[in-house]
Amino acid sequence: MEGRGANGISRELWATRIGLVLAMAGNAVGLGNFLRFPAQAARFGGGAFIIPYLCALLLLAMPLMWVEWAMGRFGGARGHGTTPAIFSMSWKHPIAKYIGVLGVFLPTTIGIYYVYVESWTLAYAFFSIKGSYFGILEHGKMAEFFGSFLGNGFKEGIGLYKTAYIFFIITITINVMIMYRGIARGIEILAKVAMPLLFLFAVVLVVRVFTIGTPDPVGQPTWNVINGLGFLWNPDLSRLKESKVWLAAAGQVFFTLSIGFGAIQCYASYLREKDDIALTGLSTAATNEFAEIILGSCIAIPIAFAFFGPEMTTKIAEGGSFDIGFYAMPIIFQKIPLGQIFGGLWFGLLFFAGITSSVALAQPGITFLQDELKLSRERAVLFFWGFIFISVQLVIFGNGVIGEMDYWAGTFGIAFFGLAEIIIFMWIFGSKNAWDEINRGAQIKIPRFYRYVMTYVTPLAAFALLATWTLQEFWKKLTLKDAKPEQIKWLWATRGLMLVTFLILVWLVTISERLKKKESRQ
Amino acid sequence: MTTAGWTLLIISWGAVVTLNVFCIRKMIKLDTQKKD
Repeated sequence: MEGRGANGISRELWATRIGLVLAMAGNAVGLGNFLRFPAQAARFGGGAFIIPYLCALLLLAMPLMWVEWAMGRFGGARGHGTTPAIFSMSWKHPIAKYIGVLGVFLPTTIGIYYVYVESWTLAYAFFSIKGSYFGILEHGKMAEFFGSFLGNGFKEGIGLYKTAYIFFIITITINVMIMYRGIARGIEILAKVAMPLLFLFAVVLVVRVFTIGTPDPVGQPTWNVINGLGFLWNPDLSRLKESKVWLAAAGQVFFTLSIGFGAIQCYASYLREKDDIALTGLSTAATNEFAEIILGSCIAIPIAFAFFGPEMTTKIAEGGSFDIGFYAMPIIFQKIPLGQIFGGLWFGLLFFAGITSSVALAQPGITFLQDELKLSRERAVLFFWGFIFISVQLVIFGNGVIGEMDYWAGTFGIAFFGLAEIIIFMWIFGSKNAWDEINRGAQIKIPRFYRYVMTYVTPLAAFALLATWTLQEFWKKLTLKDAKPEQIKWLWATRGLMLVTFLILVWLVTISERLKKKESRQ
Repeated sequence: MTTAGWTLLIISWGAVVTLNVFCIRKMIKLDTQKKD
């Protein structure tokens, strides 16, 4: 489906609003909704965590999300769906397009490891149905199973990587096939199929969790699902005095709405110039929060509590997302009737959450090649995924690569980019222009105080987040202070890859500038 | 599960459900008007 923008530029469009909402929600709903959110809440004060979380959602994430939607639609109407061009249209300064390069670099870099993690969920869905890990009932042994699936170190040879590699190839092929079909026929159809299935699987799992009751009523009568819910929701209000709780909440809303990735701008660029973004953006956030606050808090932690009790659940939550998803849950599935099916549903749900996000992470790179270098969609898809395929080899065969990329792109990078975009849009493009742009075609009235929130509060909050993350981690990470000796060469290789990726994008931006000048002379 | 836990859960879930219902109803209403 195609339409015309501000200058009569022909551009692909979303076919339906429900398709757009589901695709945008698919971008936002990821593994973090079901793994990261409950782990963070359990670690940072239980129910008390929700207070800073909601504050950050209203004052930081929602304003940034509307800004990203507005920037995307503004760019799309002028034939550009990525931030190098959008930033230079909003700020007539030569450096703007190079800051905008981050809006392609960050989702590409995150996409490199995300697609590999996504392939694990597909593999584990298969393992669950086949019963491959059944019989392993110890946490440590399950971690070993996971390690052996991933190869457990380069020197042991490629043979060990075979299963993980096959599932990676399958996952990347599915991604390519979807994206090859374009926005309306590819991503939109995926969202219309995958998102309802994701919610269906989640609801089935929630029902299963709440009908478990007390697994060991004689030995451990207090280990039950309701107390598990309490483990997550009982507030420890004293934790609200700790700045790290507020930071963790701000970080979580950043990740959960996929703010600062450059992906929202790209999807929004396929809107018509007068399409609403206020209500549609709000609906996307509402869908994401339903998946996170309601469904995300009802599955992993409550069931882990019912089977493992408070001490072990605390350790699992501190272990993070992979611990819950790939160690704890597979043990639990072995203890419930029809566990193979429920395991398949759990990892199927994570796979759908993953694939709807990975296509969103890949789209800015593809759109950049189409819009700025005038490549056909098919060629852009093949070039982009070819680059991802080559780059993922470092993630697969390296050691510590995911953590390194996740810090520089997925943590520091998105906070920096979030701050840059709100300053460029609200302060340089101008708060009046920005506010008019956000409200063009709006089907709900965004409260006026949000204009002031976007101008003053959100940049300050984004700056505080970036500054604290920088002070806490930046030098430690940069100087590889906590790195294991065997990881160091891989961490330098990762930095090399990220630098090369960034420089290639800068070079492509200069080529696109030359192309534009050539076109305007003709 | 303490009373404070239930209170926070009900408020949060209530807010999320209300927001979703508001968005869905509004979109359906506007899209129906558009078709007419």
